[in-house]
Amino acid sequence: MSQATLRIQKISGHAGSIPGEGAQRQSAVAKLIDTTTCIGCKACEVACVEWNDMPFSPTEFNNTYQTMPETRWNYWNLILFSEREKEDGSLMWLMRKNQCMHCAEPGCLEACPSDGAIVQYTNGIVDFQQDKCIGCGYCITGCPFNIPKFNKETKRVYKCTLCVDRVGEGLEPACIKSCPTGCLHFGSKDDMRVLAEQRAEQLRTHFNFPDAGVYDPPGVGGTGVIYVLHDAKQPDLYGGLPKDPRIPLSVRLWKGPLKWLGNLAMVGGVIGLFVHYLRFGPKERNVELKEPHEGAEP
Amino acid sequence: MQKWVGVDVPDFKVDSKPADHMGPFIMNAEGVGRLFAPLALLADGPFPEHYEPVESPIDNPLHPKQTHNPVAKRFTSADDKYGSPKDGYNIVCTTYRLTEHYHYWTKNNPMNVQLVPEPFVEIPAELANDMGIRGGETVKVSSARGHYVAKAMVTKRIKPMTIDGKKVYQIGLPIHWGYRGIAEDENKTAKTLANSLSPAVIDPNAFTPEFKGFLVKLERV
Repeated sequence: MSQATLRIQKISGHAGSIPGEGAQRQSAVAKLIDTTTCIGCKACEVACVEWNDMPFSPTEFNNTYQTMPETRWNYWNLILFSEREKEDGSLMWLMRKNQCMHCAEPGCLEACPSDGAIVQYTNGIVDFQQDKCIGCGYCITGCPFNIPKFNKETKRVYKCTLCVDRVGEGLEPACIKSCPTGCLHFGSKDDMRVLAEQRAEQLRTHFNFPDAGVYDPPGVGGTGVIYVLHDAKQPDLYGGLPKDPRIPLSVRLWKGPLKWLGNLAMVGGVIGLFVHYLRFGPKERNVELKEPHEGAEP
Repeated sequence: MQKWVGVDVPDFKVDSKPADHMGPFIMNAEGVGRLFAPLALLADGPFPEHYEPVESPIDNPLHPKQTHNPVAKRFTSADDKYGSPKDGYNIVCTTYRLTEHYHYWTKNNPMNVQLVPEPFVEIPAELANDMGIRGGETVKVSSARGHYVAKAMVTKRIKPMTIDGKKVYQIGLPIHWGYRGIAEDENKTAKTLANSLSPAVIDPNAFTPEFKGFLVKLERV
């Protein structure tokens, strides 16, 4: 939303070059979430609702501490709670802060047909521009993490902005600021990768989590939100984090080969019409009159 | 020659045999530490002692003839009754606060109510299985002093305990609801306080009430 301070890197449905391209360089930013030190206090959920000035909506008790089953158009940041019983009988209460992953190759942006409704800034933040959104909901289909949510009243789609309005001014996102345990970190993508690898190494060597690792899925070109997991081999345990997220095949086909096939069919049709005209000429009206039937005359 | 080994460096002769009982406190003639207790500062004796809660599923294993603290302060109204496993109060109940709420104030704030919308009782999965309670069903918790009705949260996080050879279940009760509030006004709760269940028994030294361990019954509604 703050295009004044940030430069656009990719732009949806836009013909021609990006306005202001190459004028300024910024390093990619990233949010690091260490799920091993999250206590599920929901301070980040409250910070998100307050900073973005979201209206409250009612929730229902659902046999869990989790605030609601999934994110909503007005609730962009949700901790997913899952109880996991390990093979040795011990129990782990897993908590994962779920929000937009800010993919380097965003499926939402790929799927969006509206000019400028989804942009990716040079620092990696993927941002929806609601004033240009046409409410088609294709971004929802394109997202492998089920993040963008449709508001039926405004007929627009909303999601986490990575607090682009704060980051553009040099501040950390609201959720990072509110975290009391320091499980949330924010900085350049390179620094966060190093920090995440260090923490994963610590978990492997000192805390008896041999499968601990970093979640930064290459299927979407890496993400602007990376996780440290106790068990990086089974990310689906953490509230269904996809193991190998990819932009859905339908969107890739539609925006790739099918788009060109369609163009070809359309242009081919026009050319075919023209060639037919040259070969056979215009269609002329048959001027021969029918002979009158015998005995028709009185 | 055998030596003492371990994480710490021994503070005495490293080859002293265990039979010699050489203590680590080498500056004391007796070789062991000394504890000093200020006279008459603690109401129940010079040294701390283990007592079971007033409502406990077992007798005190250290000295069964004196299970409870004899100088614990107790309220003495007609409502201050106590239950025992013999009367059917065989589940241990504990009360606590949530990070999402603050005392009895935030039940009126839509933000906090959005995070945790209504009261609940945390029930171990095994106990819920035995009683046929599903998550989200309404249950009634009653002690010798009162009752509390809320929805069940079935969880694997509370495991059954084996105490003195008996299997004992524990349930958990967040305290944040009461007579009025957003959930109460929508008739989502029984409008009784969690502390109508807990006993008014007070530690003689720290004046902490005994709200973390008492006995209840659990029923489906």
